[in-house]
Amino acid sequence: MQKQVREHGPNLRRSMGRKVYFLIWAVLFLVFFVRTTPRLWIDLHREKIPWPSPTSSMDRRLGPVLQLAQPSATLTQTFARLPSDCGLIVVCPEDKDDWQFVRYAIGYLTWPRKMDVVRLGPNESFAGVASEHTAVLFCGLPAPAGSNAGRTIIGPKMVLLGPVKPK
Amino acid sequence: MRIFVGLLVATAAIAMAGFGVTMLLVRHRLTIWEHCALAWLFGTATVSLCLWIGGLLLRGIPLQTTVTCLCVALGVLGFRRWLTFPKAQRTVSKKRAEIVFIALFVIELILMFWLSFQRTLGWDGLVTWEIKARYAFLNGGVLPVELLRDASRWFSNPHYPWCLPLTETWFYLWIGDCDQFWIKFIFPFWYGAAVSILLLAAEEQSQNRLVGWMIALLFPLIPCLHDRPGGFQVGYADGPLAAIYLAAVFYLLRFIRNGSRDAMVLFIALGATLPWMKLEGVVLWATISLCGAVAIRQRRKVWTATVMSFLPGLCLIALWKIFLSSVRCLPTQDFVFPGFGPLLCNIQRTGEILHELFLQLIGWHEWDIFWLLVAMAMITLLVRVRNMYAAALVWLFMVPLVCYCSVYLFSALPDYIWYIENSLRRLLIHLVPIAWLLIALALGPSRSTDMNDVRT
Repeated sequence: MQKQVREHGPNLRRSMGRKVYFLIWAVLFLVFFVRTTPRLWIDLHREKIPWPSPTSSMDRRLGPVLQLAQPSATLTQTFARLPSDCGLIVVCPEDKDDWQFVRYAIGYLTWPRKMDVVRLGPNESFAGVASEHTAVLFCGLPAPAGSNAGRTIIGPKMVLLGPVKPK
Repeated sequence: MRIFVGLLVATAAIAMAGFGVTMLLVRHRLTIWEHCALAWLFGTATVSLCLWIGGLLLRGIPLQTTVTCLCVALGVLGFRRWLTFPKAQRTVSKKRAEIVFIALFVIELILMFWLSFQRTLGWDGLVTWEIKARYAFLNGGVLPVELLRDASRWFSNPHYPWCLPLTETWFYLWIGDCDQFWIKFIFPFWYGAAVSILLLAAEEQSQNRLVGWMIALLFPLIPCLHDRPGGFQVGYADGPLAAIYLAAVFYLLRFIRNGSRDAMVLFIALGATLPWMKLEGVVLWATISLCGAVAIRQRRKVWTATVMSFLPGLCLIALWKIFLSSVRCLPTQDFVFPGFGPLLCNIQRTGEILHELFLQLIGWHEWDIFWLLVAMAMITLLVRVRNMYAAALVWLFMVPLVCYCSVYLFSALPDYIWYIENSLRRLLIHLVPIAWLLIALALGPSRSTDMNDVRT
């Protein structure tokens, strides 16, 4: 009898150990489930796209920065009025994430037009000029004062200087 | 209406191509879960490769028609081959619990679709991946090579591979327009493929169907997968890459387990598509190929098969490199060429890199207690399950992690900490499914039971 107990002892201990081991994992899974499920639920209800459109992703990011209702469409229409061989210089503030995205978005929308970027620090100014073959787009910076010919205002944050054809 | 028809036809063509490729690779029927997952994974790789190579000769409607015909031909060939195979090894269980789990999986899949449509494409989703799809669509399905040498658009990472952009182009060609809203339709398919494979892989590791289901259903609850850049909802390549890596690892582990020829062919083929999805895929391909080479050498005892297992991936990487240099693609600006010089110069970054990794792993908002579970599993594996599966899985998890961290030693960006903070989370996503497999293995039989199983 004593021998039987001695033989069953380690097995019983092993069996108990296994049960405790799996119980710990079950508890950890439960904690993970309880903590993460509400977050998924919250996530399903936030940051909805207001209206699905072919440019919804771009507009969602550009809209608040440029303060335009349909920024992709507006910019595409404006750039379409430039001659096809006209390059573009984008002048924007340095080291600001929002304007970095705007720069990329302009590159995205203006393909295959040639594009250069000039990033200005707080006390710097742009020395170049617009010409027949080069338009200058000021983003988030005031355009130099001058005549209104060839000046297109795109919302409150952007000014395009260049040979834009009338609508 | 045209959009829905377009989405349906594009998806069907991909599924046919993927099914055909899978059937041409294997000699036995697979489970329904594997068929669905592999149809998507191989289908996207096939269609994007066809668009790339076909685009060297054709464009517009002829290109679209040719690729469609190829997809249909592959599908028909695959179906005829499928009919000749013996019956499936395992069918879907009709137990009540299984039906409940399948219903939960379907609900999670629907939620992932819902989440994808709720959210916008992320920053990289737009200006690294979708931008190329848009330009290719506007150019008749062929990505203009001028983009690859346009310095003003270097932000689009022109040297990145084209699996994702050309898959998106395929959908644009069928929809008939670029659409940043409807293109998000495709990403939950990679999620579905990942969960299907994860279910089977976790079941095989733990030898318990219930554990397989629990892990498959818990997988999408990690906040990082649905709430942060890099998840399945924002149009990045990280989720798809994780799905492909998981599938390749699953078949490698199956090959280690039973030496099946089908598993060997599938892990080699899936591994070869990794570098086609994202640059980091080269690291994952190298990791899995080295591990696979050791497994093939042990199982088959021949060097030919061992060496040949590297060929598909090497060919794809070489083809891509030759293409990039032939079109004079701009070199990457983010990294210096790895060598002893830069290594010695930047070795002092090691502490910061490890610190950032630690901060990332304990980030409750991104990961909750997921990495705690993984840490527990790793400890358990060391204590309980010291066998070759554990060794292989730890290798497949740790080597890419070490490589990803080491890469920051060669970062050319002055603010490399900012770079780590922005990219490491996404790189960890590639390893999340493998980390789940570590947990599954920890929940499996202990060493002694397992060794008996292997002997029998």
